[in-house]
Amino acid sequence: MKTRENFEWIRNRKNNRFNLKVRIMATITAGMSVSILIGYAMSVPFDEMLPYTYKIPLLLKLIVISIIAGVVVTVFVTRWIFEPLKQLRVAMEKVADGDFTVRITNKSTLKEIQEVYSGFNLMTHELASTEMIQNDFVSNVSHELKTPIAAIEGYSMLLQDCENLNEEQNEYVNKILFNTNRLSSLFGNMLLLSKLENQSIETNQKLYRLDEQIRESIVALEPAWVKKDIEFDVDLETVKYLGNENLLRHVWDNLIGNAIKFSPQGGLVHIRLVKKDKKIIFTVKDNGPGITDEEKKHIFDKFYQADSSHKQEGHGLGLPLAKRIVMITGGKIEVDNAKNGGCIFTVTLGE
Amino acid sequence: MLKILIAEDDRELRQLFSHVLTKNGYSVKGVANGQEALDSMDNEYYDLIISDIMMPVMDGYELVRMLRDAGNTTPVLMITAKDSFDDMRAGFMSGTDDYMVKPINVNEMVLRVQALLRRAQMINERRLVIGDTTLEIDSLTVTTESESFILPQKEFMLLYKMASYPGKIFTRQQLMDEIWGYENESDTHTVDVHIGRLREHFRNSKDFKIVTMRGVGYKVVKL
Repeated sequence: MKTRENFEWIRNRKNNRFNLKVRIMATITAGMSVSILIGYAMSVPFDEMLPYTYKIPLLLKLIVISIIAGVVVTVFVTRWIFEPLKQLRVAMEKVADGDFTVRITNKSTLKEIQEVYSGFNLMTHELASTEMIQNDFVSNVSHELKTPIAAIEGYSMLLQDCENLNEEQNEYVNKILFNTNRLSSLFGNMLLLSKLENQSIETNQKLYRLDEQIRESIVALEPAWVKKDIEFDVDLETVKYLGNENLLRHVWDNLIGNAIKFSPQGGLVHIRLVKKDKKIIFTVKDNGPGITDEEKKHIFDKFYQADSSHKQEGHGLGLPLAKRIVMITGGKIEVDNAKNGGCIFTVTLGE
Repeated sequence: MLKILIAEDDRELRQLFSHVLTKNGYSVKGVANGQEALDSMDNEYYDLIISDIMMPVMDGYELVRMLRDAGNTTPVLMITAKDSFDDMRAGFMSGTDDYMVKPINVNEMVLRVQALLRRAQMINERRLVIGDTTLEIDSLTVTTESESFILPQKEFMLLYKMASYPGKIFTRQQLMDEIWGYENESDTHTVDVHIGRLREHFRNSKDFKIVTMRGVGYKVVKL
């Protein structure tokens, strides 16, 4: 691992005589000595050179020379200390924005500063690999668990197709299928939610068309809304957004999916995306039963299911997940009752 | 009988898919990874391949890449865990490919297999049939019960694309990217204009119609 080796090597370098403490001491000493020497050397002939009879007091000369010396020392100290600090600050801000690929590549002749730079590079390297490990974990566990569930679901479906099942057997098979569906959608969201709870930085940001992503979400949910004969009223402005595409997809899938779930048969779902004052506002409205004040308080809680008649269909993690994701991007999500019945969810994203 | 090759490292899933497809009248062979799939294909012809992505020795991506680089156009249905797949999807899928997300709904798998085989056949025969209407890709000709005429290229491709996936909604941007190219900077309004012209041509068609989903896109629906 090159970064770690680099770091260790710099730490162990013995031969560097020009470290910071020595330099500063040398500079100040040299500066002061030179100033005093110059001042002394010039105090006599200086007066004679002047056409004026006015004698410049020694004190004033010493002050001027000290100021010059001070400026010189400051210039060097700035270059050695404050410049690197500024570089570090800029790099750290990038990390806070979710970019773990940042590395400081400038070289400093000062050992201490070089140590700080390579320590920083090591840190971002570790951050990047930790994130990768977490991602791998979530997808490996998902993969391993989904496989036996897929097998259970598949064979249940084959059973369903068998002709010589009596009514009782049929019912049991349907129950098995129903519950395996719940299981698989449940833990998929659970893993993702738990990973996101430990994370507050939005990573993997790239510029993409937000309106197209929402359309894809609507199209993907077609089987569900066709079944309930739901109509859509969609109006999306063309919006280019910088963010984590994979994460945000969950937000739209969940919110639009919920709108469909709570819409009555033949209902209408209303979706808007607008850009307003540097903010991006997404709203989805259904004409279902709406939401009580009690439900409003808990709707983003994990495993909370408002309407018990719909309890079996979902798993209570969709909204907490959506909220967590929106918060990571620095946005906010709100729910309210719509003017003529139904629920309206509003997601506000920053630029 | 149509032959299907299944590349899936999990034995349970492999057997499950095998059962389902055999029940639906296909002849099935199962292998455990991409390398075994290639070896199998050296000896036999398959009409379709179903492949998992995460497999040892050679994964799904590698398998398809090797096939396509060698000029093999056998349709491939990929099985994937969604998140990891999306990054690859854009540059990866060709017209004869499709994908499904685990856990697989086996009934849906059968439907997708049928759709893939149908599309592959259309591409092989260089024609698409919808009801009594036939689109011939090499001559840009559309033949209905009553007449036969040639469409301008963009209009033809637009109709062909949408009719290849009946019932599927395409957004204007998707159609723009597919037919006019990803580099094209034109307004998606162009798509609306072409759809309008197509509607004019097929105003009286008894085989299909083009449906608008306002704010979202267009789809071709069989009548």
